[in-house]
Amino acid sequence: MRPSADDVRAFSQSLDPAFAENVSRWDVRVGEDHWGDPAIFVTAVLKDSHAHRAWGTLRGFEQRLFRALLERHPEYFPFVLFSAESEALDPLVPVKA
Amino acid sequence: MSLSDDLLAQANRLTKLDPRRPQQANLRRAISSSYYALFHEIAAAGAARTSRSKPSDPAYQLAYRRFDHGTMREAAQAFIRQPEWIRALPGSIPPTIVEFSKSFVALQQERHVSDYDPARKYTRTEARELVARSEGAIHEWRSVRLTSIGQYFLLVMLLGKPRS
Repeated sequence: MRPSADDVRAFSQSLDPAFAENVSRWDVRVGEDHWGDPAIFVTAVLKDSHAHRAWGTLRGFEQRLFRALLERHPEYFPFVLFSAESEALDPLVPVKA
Repeated sequence: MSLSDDLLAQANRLTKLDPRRPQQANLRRAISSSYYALFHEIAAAGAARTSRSKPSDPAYQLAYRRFDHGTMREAAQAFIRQPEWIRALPGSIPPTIVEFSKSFVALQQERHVSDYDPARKYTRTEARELVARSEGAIHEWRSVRLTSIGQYFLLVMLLGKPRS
């Protein structure tokens, strides 16, 4: 069954409440990748004020959400990305890993 | 420095340009270079392994050019989804290979968007995260590339899944 964007958004948001506090909004699209295969695209748009704090936790969250989405919707390949409300990660400011 | 290292260094430089308002062209090229860093990392390792020669040797060049984006994507997907022919391998698949495969598929998709979708707008955070992802994947891949499963991974990336 084709998952709805709203379901995927709610699931992504509920997976890790502590991480979700860093997120301003979840951009979700269910469709096809560039090869035409079924895919789920989730972009967690970080709050500008939280982007640096969240930076060191992105990989771990991506791994958990990827695995959970693949188990839930095995025919859809998950793509999990991270963005920010604006240009939050200023390269002149050191990033704490 | 290998070509993949150079591409990663270039990608990092591109994300640091224009401190206040990054140009989309720079962020797009950074994302594209991050994918090609993964591609060339595998192609170079695979060409060296299969031709047992140096880049100046025609056999190396022929092997290098045999790597195909679609076949590599299918191979990476197989190591993520682990169908029967992957599960039949002795031992378990190292998480580093699974993570490399995920990064390969994700960056290939984003490379396509960054190069061909004029409506897409990237933030610096997105570009930096994708560059960091490519860096991490290459770093982890290098820790397993000389293992037998690493060598098998290269072979599947070159040839695709085995005939049943």
